[in-house]
Amino acid sequence: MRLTPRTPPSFFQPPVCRAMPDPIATLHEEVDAEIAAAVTLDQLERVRLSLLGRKGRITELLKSLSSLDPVARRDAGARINALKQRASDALDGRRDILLDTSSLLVRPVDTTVPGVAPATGGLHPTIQMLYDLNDAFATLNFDVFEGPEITSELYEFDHMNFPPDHPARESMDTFWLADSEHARAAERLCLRPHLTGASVRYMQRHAPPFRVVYPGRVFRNETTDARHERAFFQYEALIVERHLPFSAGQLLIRTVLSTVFGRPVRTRMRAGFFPFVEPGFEIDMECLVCGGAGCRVCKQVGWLEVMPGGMPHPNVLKAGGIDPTEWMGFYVNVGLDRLVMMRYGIDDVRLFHSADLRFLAEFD
Amino acid sequence: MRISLDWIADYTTLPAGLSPKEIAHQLTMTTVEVEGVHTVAGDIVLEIDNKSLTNRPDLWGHYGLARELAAIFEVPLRPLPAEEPDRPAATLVSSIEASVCRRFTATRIEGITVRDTPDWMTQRLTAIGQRSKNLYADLTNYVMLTTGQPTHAFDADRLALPLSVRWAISGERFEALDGTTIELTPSDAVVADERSAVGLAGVIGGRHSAILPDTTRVVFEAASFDPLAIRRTSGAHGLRTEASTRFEKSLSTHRIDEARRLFFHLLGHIDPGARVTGFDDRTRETTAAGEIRVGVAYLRDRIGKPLAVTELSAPLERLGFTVNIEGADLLVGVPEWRHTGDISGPHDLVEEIARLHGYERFDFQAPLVQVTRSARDYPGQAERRVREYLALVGGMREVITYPWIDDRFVTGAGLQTTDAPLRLSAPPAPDQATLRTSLMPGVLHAIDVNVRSRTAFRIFEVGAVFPVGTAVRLDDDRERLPPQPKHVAGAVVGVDAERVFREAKGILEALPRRAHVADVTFEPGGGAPWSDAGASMTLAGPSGAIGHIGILNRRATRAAGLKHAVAAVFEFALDGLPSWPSRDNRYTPLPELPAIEIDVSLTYADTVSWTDIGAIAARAAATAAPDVDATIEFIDQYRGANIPEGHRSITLRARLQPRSHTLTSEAATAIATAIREAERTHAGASER
Repeated sequence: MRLTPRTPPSFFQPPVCRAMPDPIATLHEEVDAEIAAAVTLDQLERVRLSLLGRKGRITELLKSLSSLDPVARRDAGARINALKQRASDALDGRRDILLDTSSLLVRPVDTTVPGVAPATGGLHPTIQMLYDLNDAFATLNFDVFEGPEITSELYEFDHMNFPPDHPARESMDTFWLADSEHARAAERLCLRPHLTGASVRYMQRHAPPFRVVYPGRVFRNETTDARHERAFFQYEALIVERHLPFSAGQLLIRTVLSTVFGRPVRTRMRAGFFPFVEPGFEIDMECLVCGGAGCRVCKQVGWLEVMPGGMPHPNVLKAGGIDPTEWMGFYVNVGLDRLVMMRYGIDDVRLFHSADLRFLAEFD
Repeated sequence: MRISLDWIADYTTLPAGLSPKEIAHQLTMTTVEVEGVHTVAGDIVLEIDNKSLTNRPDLWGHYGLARELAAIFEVPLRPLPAEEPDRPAATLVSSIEASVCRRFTATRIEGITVRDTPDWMTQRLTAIGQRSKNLYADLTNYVMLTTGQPTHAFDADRLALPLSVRWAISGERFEALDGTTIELTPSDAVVADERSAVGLAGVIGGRHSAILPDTTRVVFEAASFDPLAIRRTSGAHGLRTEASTRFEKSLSTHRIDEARRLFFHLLGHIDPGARVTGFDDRTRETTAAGEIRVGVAYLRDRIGKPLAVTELSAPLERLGFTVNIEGADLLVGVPEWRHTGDISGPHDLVEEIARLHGYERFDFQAPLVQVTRSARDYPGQAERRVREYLALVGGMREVITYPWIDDRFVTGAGLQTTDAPLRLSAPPAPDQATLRTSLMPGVLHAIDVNVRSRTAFRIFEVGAVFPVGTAVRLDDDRERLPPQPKHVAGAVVGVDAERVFREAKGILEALPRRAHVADVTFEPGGGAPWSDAGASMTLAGPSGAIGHIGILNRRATRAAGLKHAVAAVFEFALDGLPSWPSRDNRYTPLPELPAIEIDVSLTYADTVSWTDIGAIAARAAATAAPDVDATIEFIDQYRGANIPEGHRSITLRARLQPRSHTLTSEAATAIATAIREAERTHAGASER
């Protein structure tokens, strides 16, 4: 005999005929809202404890099942366990989101503190320029050659078509070696006063046609000041071809200047005299300080002398074993230190040999 | 040199409306560099860079530049005013030394009444910065500034004629016009009278025979001297004058006649009463005109523009050359004023034609070149890789020092200045006479320069050194050059000796791989004169020792100015590390099994070297596990708390790579235990 309806008036049941709230359904909604509202891991932990902790609301619901009859207990148990599973999954999902979006740092980094520099070192600014030019000429298939620093009057003066009584042969200009200063030609040794002597060595070792650069350090016995040094770098380029009118020499000039300044620079070729070239040129570039208008740097003329050049004198080609009736060439000679000074605005050539790291560090 | 356009106008009329700036520009582009344009009292003065005139003796006077300007602007050149008076022969010259003097003329002038320089001449001289002195000084100066030929006037009554040109006598004294007294040597050439030297030939006149306000009789000298003799004399006495500067360039002997005739033309107008009473002319050598045959094709080829024959000949003719066309050739007559060494062959004519045509009028022509191979440069590329490695990976800054180094750095590096085989004849300073045999003195210098502004830094240098060795033939059988190998040197400066040594060594250890050069090996010990005996190694390449690494010893440290820091330094011969023509390392297949790393820390006596410790560990691992490849690495060393004096704790790492089956952690631990036991037994190691 049944004295009570099959479905007891319990809060576990949705109300059948009364507007009585179902606590499981209510909690269901609260679980979703509370988990979504947690924006820190701490808040989320508090939500977890309030639901699944020892005195959590879901835990309390599970405890209250024991007061129900078996049938109701089974139904309610299933619903509560489903809710518990749902809450647990939602907590895990929310925790993953909060973890992925949280900082792993104990505290934010002061990003305005300067970065840690890598090992500091660098090439000498003149050597950097030298390599820049080597790279530029390499794209035009120029060979790179190096002559000896100690060489002889034979190569530096005789082969260069300097007259026997030329003043540059005297010790006031050239560093002659002791014990050979009174000898002549091949037996009179010196620190090279220019690079051009090396061009004859190259000619003697290579049959034309060829194109070659031969950079290096040269030495002059003179008084030093902000514009004059006893040891400095030059950069020289030479093409020898069967047919090479002098205007083709512009290729060398353009290559040098666009490499150094990174853009085309206006130049002009004018008459100049050097014993080893005929015709010889002075190559001027537009003064980059005043743009050619005239200023103190260019002595008001708007142009700066940057490199001499010209076609090798027949006597020079002959010295190199090349028949001047069959072959022609073009030289340019660059005062490398001077171009470095113009590239960076350096006002004292003596800094290059100073070994002063305060200076050198500016060009890392 | 300064040039007056008013003066130029005597000889050529330049096109109307030409601005001085345009004249200066054209002269610069075509002939000589004009450094400045000045307006002086109604005249325009061009300042010409003397350096650009060195090869053109014909341009050292207004007439020569007038000739150039007339040729540039294609206007006529008027002849130089000339007056040739009657010249009764007289013995005014006895002998001339042929090695000094090419031609010597002397003219005696009497009946002089005018003593003042006319105003127009004073103005012209002043405009170009010359000081007016007296009529004869101004006249000779004016003649020189017109023709380029220096002349001189003596007071005839203060000379013991005849004159001669001779070498000075040792100890002979000479008082120059400017009052300086010179003691002469037998290598000085002088103009002398019967008593003594009256002029330093081609340089300056003497004070005792100078023109005075009451002079009535003059001897006028116009002569040509050997350029080398004049340069030696003027150089020996530090006397550079307008005259010596011109004679050094080698003047045509014909210029003497131009100068004489201009002189008498001027004198005839200024002092009509003055008359020539004697003339003497001694000639040893006469400058001849020249002749050059040149092919039209040759000229066109080099000029690179198909100029018509008349376009080739016209510029030459405007400059005073003669041109005859003979078939495909031009027969070019070179005027004597250009035949003093300046114009000697067809190549010189290319320049004359091209510059008059205007270099700027030749468009760029790309060279047509034949390429037979790619340009490759092995030694230079290896040097560059070494430099870039040291700078960019090694963190070192490149310095460049002089090949001559103060003796104190040479001796500081333990080298003897007397051992250097090469010395400079005229060194920059007395204590910089020897050329470096090592880069180390320069490194000490570079440390010294920087040690005051910083305590820790790294530097390196690459450069040629000049050690003792047999001179070798390079390119010519007659030439023997001393060996000049390239060296590399570097320094790591800091406070902790062990640390800087390991840093410097680490840089060199990784260099071969990064710079693609042959391997370097390190042998303990070695005889570098700058190295402390407690930290010194010899570096070797494939064919033997190439250099050293070490800590700078006390002497070198003192020379380098180091007080609170130490430096680890190295130097080696770059040639000793041949570069690889291409990459020569091989790929190693990756192992299939995972490797395990184990660290072992033990305490050792300082006398036990890492080499021994590492070898013992490797042997122990190999014995304990034959099928495992063990690589032993040095990790760290430690001295201090809990480590007895004279000992250090060393941590090593064994990287265990199994070959056949996966290594368990138990097996790895067993290998570590084996290493510990071996180190205890064979190296006296103890647990920390």
